[in-house]
Amino acid sequence: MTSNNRIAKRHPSVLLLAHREDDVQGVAELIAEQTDDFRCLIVRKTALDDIQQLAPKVLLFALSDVKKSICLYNLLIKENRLIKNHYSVLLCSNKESGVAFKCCLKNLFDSYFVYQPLYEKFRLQLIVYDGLKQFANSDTYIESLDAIVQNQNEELNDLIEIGLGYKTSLMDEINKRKEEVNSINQDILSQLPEGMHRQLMSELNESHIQPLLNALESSISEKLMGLVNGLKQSQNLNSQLLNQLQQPLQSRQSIKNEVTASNDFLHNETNTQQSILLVEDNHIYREMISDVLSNVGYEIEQVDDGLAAIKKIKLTQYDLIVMDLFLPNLDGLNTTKHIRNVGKNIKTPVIALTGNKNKQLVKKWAEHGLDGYILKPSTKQEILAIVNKAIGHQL
Amino acid sequence: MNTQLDELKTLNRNTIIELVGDEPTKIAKFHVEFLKQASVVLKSIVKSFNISDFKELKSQAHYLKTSARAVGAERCAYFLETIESYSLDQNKPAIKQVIIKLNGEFGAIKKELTHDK
Repeated sequence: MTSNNRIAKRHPSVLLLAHREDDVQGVAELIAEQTDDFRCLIVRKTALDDIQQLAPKVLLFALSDVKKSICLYNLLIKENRLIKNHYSVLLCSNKESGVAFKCCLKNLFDSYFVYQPLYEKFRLQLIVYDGLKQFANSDTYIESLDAIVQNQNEELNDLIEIGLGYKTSLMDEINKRKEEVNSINQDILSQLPEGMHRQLMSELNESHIQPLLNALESSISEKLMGLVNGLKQSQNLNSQLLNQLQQPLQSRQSIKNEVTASNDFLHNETNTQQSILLVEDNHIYREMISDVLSNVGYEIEQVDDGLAAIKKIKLTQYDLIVMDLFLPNLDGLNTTKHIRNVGKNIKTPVIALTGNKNKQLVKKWAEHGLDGYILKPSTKQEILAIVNKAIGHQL
Repeated sequence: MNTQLDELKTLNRNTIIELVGDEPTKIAKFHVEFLKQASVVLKSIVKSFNISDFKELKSQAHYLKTSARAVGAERCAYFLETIESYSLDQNKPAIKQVIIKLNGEFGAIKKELTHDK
């Protein structure tokens, strides 16, 4: 094993990592057969520093199990101990080949090889070669691999050479045809009337680029105006605060009293006006229901689909949610499921707006926390009775 | 089916009165809104019919049925519900006949509202 370690080499291209030399003896011999630019390192406490110092291009992880190899590799990457374009290979036992395959599928390792038992020796050499190929000095390895193959079977070698010859001539033919097609394309382009590309660009500009730029411009201007207005409001508030601070203490006390009274008023107002979120996609019916409810003092917020309703319920707590069953994007049933799980309205009563044909669906909906339903189209009295009952008081 | 249809009104004014109150201006506004909506949705219904998109056809019919019922357009709501039902069966010839009747019904509503003025 010592002879395979190439201790003299300060920066070996290929580095084999293992817990015990005996575990990787076969593998080490195979790679040593392929290249001198190789070293085997037994992983100990100083492993991270050692590996960083060796700066290998191809790393073969053959620790006692896949988990340990993954952990070591993760640590090396996390601590930035490896060269950036390294090639990593996970060596595993046959029983762990599934996990190793998954690691490669997820692009953690570049390749994997089953070395316990060690059957496919040439495949291991091919993997090492693939890794080394990514770096400049690949010719040496091709020659060394070639030598290994040469030793196997003369007849087969001839067949391979013939195959390579065929492949080269095929590639040449493909490249020749490619050039022909390119030159034809160039001819076609040169035959196009002058200024046609300008016309096309101008059409593109008119139909696509300009409208996009206009939309962008108006969006930016709208947002800027919003920001300016916000700043103006802040400035006004600041001025008011400064004025108050500059007044004598007694005067400030009276202002404080006024503010408290005003806040009390607001507080009382909020308490008496109960809020309802109305979710209905048909704007006419939505407006009708909103009209009925707001006329008796409810504060109504309207949205036209389930997703918009979810956005609202995340921000605001309502006293009641009145919702259609069939909604675009997310239906009433699924919106209710969401309401019951997330946000500020977990316990807010939900009332369904539904046609009389959907009783089964309403029944299913009820299992997810429905508190009542309004049949379309109910009368004003019926709607108010159901809403008042659900909200828990009589107006 | 026809017996039921015979009992239905083109425009049952009591429905909308019971819903939004006896407020003629408000009711007139909703009626105009409904006719506008009906015109747009009918075009979508025909488009979905032409490309045999029965799911969208059913969805459009259901959408318009809500406001049709609310304004008291009973026959119109009935035709829309029939389209929903035929869409489930993907019965294109039957849907075609109902769309023709529905179009006529919108004309009847418009006539009734114009006559009122």
